[in-house]
Amino acid sequence: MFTTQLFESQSLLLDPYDPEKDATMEAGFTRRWNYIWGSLLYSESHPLSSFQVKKKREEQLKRCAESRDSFLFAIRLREDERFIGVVELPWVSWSNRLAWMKVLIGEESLEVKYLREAARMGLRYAFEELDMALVASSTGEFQPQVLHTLQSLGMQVCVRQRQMVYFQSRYWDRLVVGISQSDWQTNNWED
Amino acid sequence: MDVDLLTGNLVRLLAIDVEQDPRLLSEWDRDSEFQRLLNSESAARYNPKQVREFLEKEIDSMHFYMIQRLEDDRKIGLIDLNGFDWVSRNAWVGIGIGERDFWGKGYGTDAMKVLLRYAFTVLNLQRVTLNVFDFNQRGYASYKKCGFREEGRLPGALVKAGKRCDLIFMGILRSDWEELQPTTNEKE
Repeated sequence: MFTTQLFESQSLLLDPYDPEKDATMEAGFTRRWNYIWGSLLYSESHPLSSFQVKKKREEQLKRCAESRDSFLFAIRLREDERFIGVVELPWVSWSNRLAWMKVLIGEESLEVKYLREAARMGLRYAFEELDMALVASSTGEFQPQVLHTLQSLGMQVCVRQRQMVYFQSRYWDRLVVGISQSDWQTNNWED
Repeated sequence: MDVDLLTGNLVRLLAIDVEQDPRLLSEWDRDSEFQRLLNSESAARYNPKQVREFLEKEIDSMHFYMIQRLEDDRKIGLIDLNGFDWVSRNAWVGIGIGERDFWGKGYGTDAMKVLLRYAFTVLNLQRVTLNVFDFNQRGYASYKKCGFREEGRLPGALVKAGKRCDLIFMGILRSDWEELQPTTNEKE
């Protein structure tokens, strides 16, 4: 009846986030500025300890379970189930059928290889399971590879917030990208 | 130097009174158009106790102000700064005039100008950001008047009264704001 596996792709699994196991690994990822900036773990971007990540993620999982207006998945490699990052829908507005999405991969080499596949799974979940009308995401102009990947999935730059992010002694623009369900379906973003 | 930076030509901004103001805020929400102009989420009703609990929870992370008319000291709306990013020196602003009789008379624009002066000259922010919905043409025009620029829109992001509408993003940089300030000669 259903031919699509929502939580599996060619190389990746969308798995439950396990604070006991994953927080230590993720704490290491927060040394990478692109990761910690993109994450919603802390308002200021700085490397976090395992204790901090575990505490934040446990709070987030509690909110996810109670409110049902946010979702958090661990991204794992199918071959060895190694934790490599997260897919988050930090805010789902049911009345507007609008979701925000964040996809974070902990290492640059893995990001090059798997960001698109992971983002595609996040979009598929938001559209095909949650029936969102629009999914939006944001990135900084200092992350052209992330922007390029999101655009390759059909997301379009809708907003350019001037000088919204301070990093390495200068201000950068923050970009908001979005894709509607009809665009997702029309273009049938199957690889 | 004793300068009242929180007073404009028509209004002053007052710290919120968590004992008294929740009743007023709860009453304003009875006007669903007010709520639809203000909130991206569905309109709802909250009693004064719920409003007070919300304010008490958020008061350390947000700056809430009531907008008070200079003419008769009547409180007519609210304005807040939230989502502070002290590294990038950005904050988001939200504003609503709860008393319908005072819509379109310049009170919101005056309150926003006062808040921007405070944001740039006291809080040392680099930019202030807001969202407005595409059907809120009065709000959009007011923000433009204050110096905000449209930076894009998410098409069809929200549903209001059964219709999809765009979520507009606007921002003002400190440099935008400074350009609009009268020079010393103009002031004289």
